Amino acid sequence: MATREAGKKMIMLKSPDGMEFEVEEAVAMESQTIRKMIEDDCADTAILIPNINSKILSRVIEYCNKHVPTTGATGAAASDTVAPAALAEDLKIWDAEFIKVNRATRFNLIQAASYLNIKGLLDLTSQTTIDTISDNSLEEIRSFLSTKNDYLPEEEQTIRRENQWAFQ
Amino acid sequence: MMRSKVAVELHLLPHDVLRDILSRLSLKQAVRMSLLSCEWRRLGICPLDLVFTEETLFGSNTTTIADPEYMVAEFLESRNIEFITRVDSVLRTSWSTSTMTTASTVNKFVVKYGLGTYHRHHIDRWIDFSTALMAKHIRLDLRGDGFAGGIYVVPLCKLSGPNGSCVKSLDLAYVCLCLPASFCGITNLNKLSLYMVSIDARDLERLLLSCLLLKSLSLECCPLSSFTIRQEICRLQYLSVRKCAVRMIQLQAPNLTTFKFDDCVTQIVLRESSKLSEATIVFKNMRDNSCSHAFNYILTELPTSLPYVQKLFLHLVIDYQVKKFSKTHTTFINLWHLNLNIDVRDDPEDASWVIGLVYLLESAPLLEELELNINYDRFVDRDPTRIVKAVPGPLHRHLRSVHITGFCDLVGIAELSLYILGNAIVLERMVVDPVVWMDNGYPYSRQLYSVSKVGSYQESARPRFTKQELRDREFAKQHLNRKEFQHMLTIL
Repeated sequence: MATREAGKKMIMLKSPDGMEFEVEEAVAMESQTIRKMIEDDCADTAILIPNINSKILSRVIEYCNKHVPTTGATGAAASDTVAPAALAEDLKIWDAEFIKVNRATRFNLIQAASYLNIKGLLDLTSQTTIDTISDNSLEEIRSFLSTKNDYLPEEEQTIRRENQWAFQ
Repeated sequence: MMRSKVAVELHLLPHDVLRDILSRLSLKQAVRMSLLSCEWRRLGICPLDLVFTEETLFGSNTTTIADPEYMVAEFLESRNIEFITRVDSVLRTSWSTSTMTTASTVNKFVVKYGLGTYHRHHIDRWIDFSTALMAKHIRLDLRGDGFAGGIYVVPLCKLSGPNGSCVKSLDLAYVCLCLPASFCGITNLNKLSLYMVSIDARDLERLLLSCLLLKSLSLECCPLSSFTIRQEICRLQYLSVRKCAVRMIQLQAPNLTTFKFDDCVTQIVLRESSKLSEATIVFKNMRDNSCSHAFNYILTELPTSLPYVQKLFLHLVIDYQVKKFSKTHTTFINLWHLNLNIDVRDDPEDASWVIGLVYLLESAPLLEELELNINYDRFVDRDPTRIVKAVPGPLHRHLRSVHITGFCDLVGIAELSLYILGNAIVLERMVVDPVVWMDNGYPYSRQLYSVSKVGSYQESARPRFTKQELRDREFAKQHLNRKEFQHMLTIL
C-alpha cells in the first residue's frame, strides 16, 4: 500500500476558511473543473476552492475518494475478482448512506458538485432533492422554493382541468 | 427557521443548476410543478426525457387493456383520444410556445402507443414539437391493439434539413417510411432503428445514403426483399438485420466493425468491410434441408462474404440430415476467435457430422480461440463405454484455447475434442464443462452464449451438477483425460 501511495501525485485543495486538504491527483480529477486546472497547468501549488467551506469540501473529497475508478496494476486485479455488478451495488448502498444529510448540507453539496462539475455527485444530490420535493404538497413546495401562487383562479382551474390525470 | 433558510438557498441556486435538478422530474411531477406559479412555469421546467406511454400517462392502476371486456373498438378509440388529449395538454401546459422563451430542450422524446393514420395530425404536431424542443433521441413506437386506420406514415421531411439537425437517434416501430422527392437526409443522425417498418428497398437506400453521419443501423421484422446499397456508406460501423427475410445483403461499408444477422440463409456480401471485428450469424429458419444447407453455406460462402472478420459467432442446428459437406479453399484471413452455439436436434448415428466442424476450423487457419457451446436434447442413452477415436483432420498451428460447454456423450463431441487435443500443436488449454450454458443465451438474451463475454461471474452462479451432467463429466474424464493431454485439460 505504501509503495502505491508513493507513486501517486498529490494535489493540495484549500477551502476559503483556510483548511488544506491533500488528495491524490486522480481523486481530485473526479472534478472536471479541477481536472481542467491541472491539465492547463494551473495547479502548481494549492488550488483555492471558493465558496465551499471545509466541512462541505471534506465531504466532497470523501465522495470522490469512493468513486475514483481503480486503475493501475493492483486496481485491475481488484476489479477482476469482484464482479462489476456487485461493485455497483456496493457503491449504491454507500451513496444512499452518504446522502443522508440535512437539507442545508445537501444544497451546499449541490452547489459544490455544480461548481466543481462532478457529475455523479450532482446526479445523486439532484435526484434526492427531486425525491423529497415530490413527496410534498404543492403548498409545501411553494414555501420550500419561496414562490407565491400568482395564478388567477381561472387559470389554475384550466390547468388543473386539462391535466386532471396528473393531480389524481 | 431552518426551512426558510434552506428555501432561500434553493431559490438562489444558479438557474442552470436549478434547471438541471428539475429536468429530472417525471412527467407527472413536472405537470404538477407547473401549477406552482407563473414564474415557475416560465422557468420551463421540463423533464430531460419526455416519455409518453401507457405507463407514464395512465399509470399501472388503471383498467388493463388486456381485459377482453374492454377490448371493444369503442373503448380503444376513446382511450386513444384520452391519450392524445393528455399528451397535448402536457405539451401545452409546460411547453407552449409562449413559455418556451428559456430555450428548454429535451434529451429524449418518446411516444409509445398504438396509434395510426387516423391520428396523423396529432402525431405530426408532436414531431414538430420534438424538433422544436431539440430532442436528440426520438422514438416513435405505434404498436397497438386497436384499428387506427392503417399505418402512420412518418413525415420524414420534418426531420430533414435544419429543423431536425439535433436528432441523433431515431427509433421507429410500426410505421411506414416514404421518402419525399426533396428529402435531403437527417443531418446529424447517428443511429437508426427500424422495427416492423415498411419501407421500400429504394427508399431505404436513399435514406441511408443521405444520412451522412449514420454509424449504426438496426432492421428488425422489416419486410424487405433485398438490402443492396450500390454506393459506399463510409461511416457505418454497426449493422444488425434480424427477421427481415431478405434474400441479399450487399453493402460497401469500409468501416463496419459489427455485423449481426438473424434469418434464413441469405447471400451476404460485405467484401469491403476490412475492419469487421465481430460478426454474429444465426440461421434459424427451419425449412426443408435448411440445416445442412446452412452448414454448407457457412463452409463455402461465408469466407467469401466476410473475408476479414476477426471474431465470428455462429448458431448452428444439427439434425440427422447434416452429413455431407462441401469443402472450400477460401479462408477467413483474419479470424482468430470462433464461437459456435450448436443446437443438436437429432441424434446423429456416427461422428461424421463433426467433419463439418473440422472443415470450419480448417477454413480459419489463424484461429487462436474456439468456443463450442452445445445444447443437446437427449433422445436415447448412449453406451458410455463405446470406443471413442479422434476424427481425422489436419494440424492446427495457432489454436491456443478451447472452451466447450454442454459437453456430453453425444457421438462426435469427444471425437472432435480428441482431434483438437491431438492436432492443435500450440494448444495451451482446453476447458470442458458438462453444464449446458447455451440456454442462457439466444434467443432470450438476443446474443449467442459466450463464455468470454459472460466473464468470470458466471462461476458464482454455477448450479450444482445434475445426474446427467455428472455422467457426462465422468465420460469426459474417461475419454479425454489421457496422460499426454493432462497439462492442458481442465474438466469442470
